[in-house]
Amino acid sequence: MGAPNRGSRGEWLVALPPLAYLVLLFALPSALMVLASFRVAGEFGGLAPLLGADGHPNLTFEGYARLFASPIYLELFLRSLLYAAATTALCLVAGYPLAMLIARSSARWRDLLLLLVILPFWTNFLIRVYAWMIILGPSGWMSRLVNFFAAPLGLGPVTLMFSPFAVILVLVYVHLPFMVLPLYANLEKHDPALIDAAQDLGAGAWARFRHVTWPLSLPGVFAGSALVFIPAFGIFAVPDLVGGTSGNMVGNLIRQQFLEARDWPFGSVLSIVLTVVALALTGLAAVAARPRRAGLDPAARAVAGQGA
Amino acid sequence: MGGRRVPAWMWIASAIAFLFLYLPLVVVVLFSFNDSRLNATWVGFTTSWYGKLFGDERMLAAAWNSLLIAVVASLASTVLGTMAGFALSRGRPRILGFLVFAPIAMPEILMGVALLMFYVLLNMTLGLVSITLSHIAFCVSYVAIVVRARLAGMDESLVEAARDCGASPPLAFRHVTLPLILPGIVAGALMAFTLSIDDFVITFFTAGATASTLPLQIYSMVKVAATPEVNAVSTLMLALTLLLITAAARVAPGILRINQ
Amino acid sequence: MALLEIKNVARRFGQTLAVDHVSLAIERGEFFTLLGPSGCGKTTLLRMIAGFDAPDNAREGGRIVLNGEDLTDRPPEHRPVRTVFQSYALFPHMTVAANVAFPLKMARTPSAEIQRKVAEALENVRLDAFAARFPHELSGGQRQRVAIARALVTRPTVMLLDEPLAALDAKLREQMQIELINLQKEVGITFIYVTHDQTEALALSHRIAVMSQGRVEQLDEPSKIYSFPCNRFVADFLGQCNILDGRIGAVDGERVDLELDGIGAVQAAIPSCPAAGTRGALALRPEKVALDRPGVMPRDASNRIAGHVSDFLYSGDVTMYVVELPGGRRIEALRANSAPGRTRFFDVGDPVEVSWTRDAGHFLPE
Repeated sequence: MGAPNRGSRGEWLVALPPLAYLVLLFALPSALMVLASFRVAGEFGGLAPLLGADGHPNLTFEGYARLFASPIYLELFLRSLLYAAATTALCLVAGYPLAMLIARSSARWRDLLLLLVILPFWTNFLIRVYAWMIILGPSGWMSRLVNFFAAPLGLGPVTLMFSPFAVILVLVYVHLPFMVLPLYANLEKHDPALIDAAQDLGAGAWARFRHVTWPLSLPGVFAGSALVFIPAFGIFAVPDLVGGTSGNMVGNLIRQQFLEARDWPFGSVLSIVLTVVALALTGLAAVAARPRRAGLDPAARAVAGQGA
Repeated sequence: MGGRRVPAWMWIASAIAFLFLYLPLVVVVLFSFNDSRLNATWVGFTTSWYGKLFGDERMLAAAWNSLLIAVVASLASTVLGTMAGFALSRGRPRILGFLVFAPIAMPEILMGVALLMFYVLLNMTLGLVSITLSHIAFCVSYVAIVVRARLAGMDESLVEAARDCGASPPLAFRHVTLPLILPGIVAGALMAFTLSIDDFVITFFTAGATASTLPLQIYSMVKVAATPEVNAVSTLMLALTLLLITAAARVAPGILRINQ
Repeated sequence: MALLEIKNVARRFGQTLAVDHVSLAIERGEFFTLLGPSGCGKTTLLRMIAGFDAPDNAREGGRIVLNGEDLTDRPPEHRPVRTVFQSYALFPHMTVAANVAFPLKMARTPSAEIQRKVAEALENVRLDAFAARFPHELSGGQRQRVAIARALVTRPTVMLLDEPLAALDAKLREQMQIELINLQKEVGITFIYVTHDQTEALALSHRIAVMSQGRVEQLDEPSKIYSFPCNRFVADFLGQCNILDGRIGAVDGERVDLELDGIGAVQAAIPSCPAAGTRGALALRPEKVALDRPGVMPRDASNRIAGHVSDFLYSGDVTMYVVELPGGRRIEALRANSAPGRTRFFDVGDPVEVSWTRDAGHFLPE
């Protein structure tokens, strides 16, 4: 575009203000947090001075050691992972048909349907959680319905609130649009001729899905899963409001460290580990979801091999 | 892939999904008019909760704060975000892409606590300013992504044609690029406004002891003692969001699909 | 001195040399065409003339000089060169009139003059009634004419056209070709035209530069290129051509015996003929190959060979016959379907005789 190096000075000028802002208010605080994870907690909370009385930097691995030594924290991470994974899986199951429906709709309906899916996403997050608190509460209709069926079976009063069930349910509710949109974006691009060709070659509905639609949708599945898993992994408001003690997640602990216990170094340790784990898992999934060489699943590859 | 037959089960599954998405919100709205303290059974119609809302000093202060912050944050982030979107579409500098996508990719809590520590280390008092600065930080990313998508969708040869006709790069931007991406910029601004008004997590950590916004207000009310006043304010916020997002979708159809 | 001199210009994209040290001199007022298949470098070369790309070897002498002025380091907005883009690139948010006025506006022309010139330009392309319309309201042909009007309105020294007719259907394309020729004659501006369509190039140009893989294979007038292609590529690319490999046999001045592989000895007239034994190919245009029932052609017709029809392609005005000769080689013969008297059509398998005159073909040395 233009001769090389022409206009690049102008481009730098345009990029500078947002770059500076993001470095200052994102990169810098993040770097500080990494540093903080190695520092010592201050006497009254916060951070102890970087340079100790003897002039040497006051750094330690104690936070990390504490995290990995204690099974409690490990269990917390595992539980958060489980909840996030369950949320992702459920969002996939619930969101895929919806995405397919929108992708197959005529243009007229499509924009309306998309708007309908997106609107809840743009509403206030707390309102959405609160809504479920009403429904799941002991006087909510869902509880009453469940207990209506449970009571004759002799099961004690079932409380839906303050349980892992509530946490996962609300997490799915909050994150569903995140799964639907990337899935839809991917499905929309599928060439209908491929499915027609498969049908022409004798594939039934399930076979068409399994061998054509699903493999082609994997990038969308991956994108949606990442957009659900990562936020869900680090969330705190949902377990805070509907999780009770049994539904605690890493996010709750981080909040507590920063605002109550005021043990900033340990809070930073938790945050760093949270980020690293989330990114590592996402990275692994990215590698796993990468299309295999033929770009098709084994059955299709076998057929291709025969014809080659 | 549009216009294909949709099998029955897909309709049913989708209807259930839509129901799942909207029923809870409907419940909230409904009970805001319920003449009962408890969100349990329908007693009678009343708008008294809305009345209580407008008499609640703290709520009004919080609403005012939210509005103020949202206006400032959306204006600033639109300007910065448009610049960032433009730079991103050029591909330079590389690091900008990472800085723009990273805040969105990570759990919000990380940015919240990192900013908290950052402000405190700078000896800044936490309040409206710290909240606004934080909001700008994550809104910039959203606006940048929307603007970049708009630019990517624009025919590159139009800019070349403008230069061919004698327009220098800044003039080409002013006369050709800007008018064509303006809907995207406006939509981005509306999105930023909505994001700011609705934000909870980052605001939670960077608000300090005194400042309050609507989401924070709602949170404390829900935690302590939920009255249908919460339903009322929620309904109003829902209405506002609906308005803003529908407006954004009208101005720039298709931008809402941009989700990384 | 030539109007536009392209001096030894080279451009590389990754591993590929898109433009391989090309030098051209384009004269004032001519309709000059860069012709070649996709990937041959013609569009890259055009973009370098416009200023959207720069030669890699600018410092080592790859320059572009217009009217004596070195343009190589100038950005596109400072070159007196206008481009008609393949996609027309009309500004969708401006009316037709505003589109055409844009270059004048950029040149800070006073608004009264702008109005006058825009009206004139639109009249030139017969679109004055559409001044207030927007591009999306126009048909493809109309948009194309707006693009041309916009390019012409500032009377540039050179106009570049990047496959402007590619998106139009056949009938419209023919119409536009005639219009372009007339327009160019009328305004007298030098046109540099890029296309992959050889019939278009032959029809429009004063001179054609046939390009392949970044190099100019042949530069000449259309008829000369057609009748005397300099190598296999050019012979094959322009029109249909039989390329018959063979070896030079006995040479007697211009009269040469050619031993064609799989066919046998034929007679040719080759000016400045290379020595006997040289291998090469005979480029023989199908329209120069006569075809008829056995026994119809005069006995002494040169290069008369018997064979049978193996294929044919009927095209309304002509029929292309593929004749298989003993020895397995095939020859294409083009026959008009409107010869006086009843036209005789041949079917697959019919025995026929083909012949061509001594000077019908052109010899391409290896």
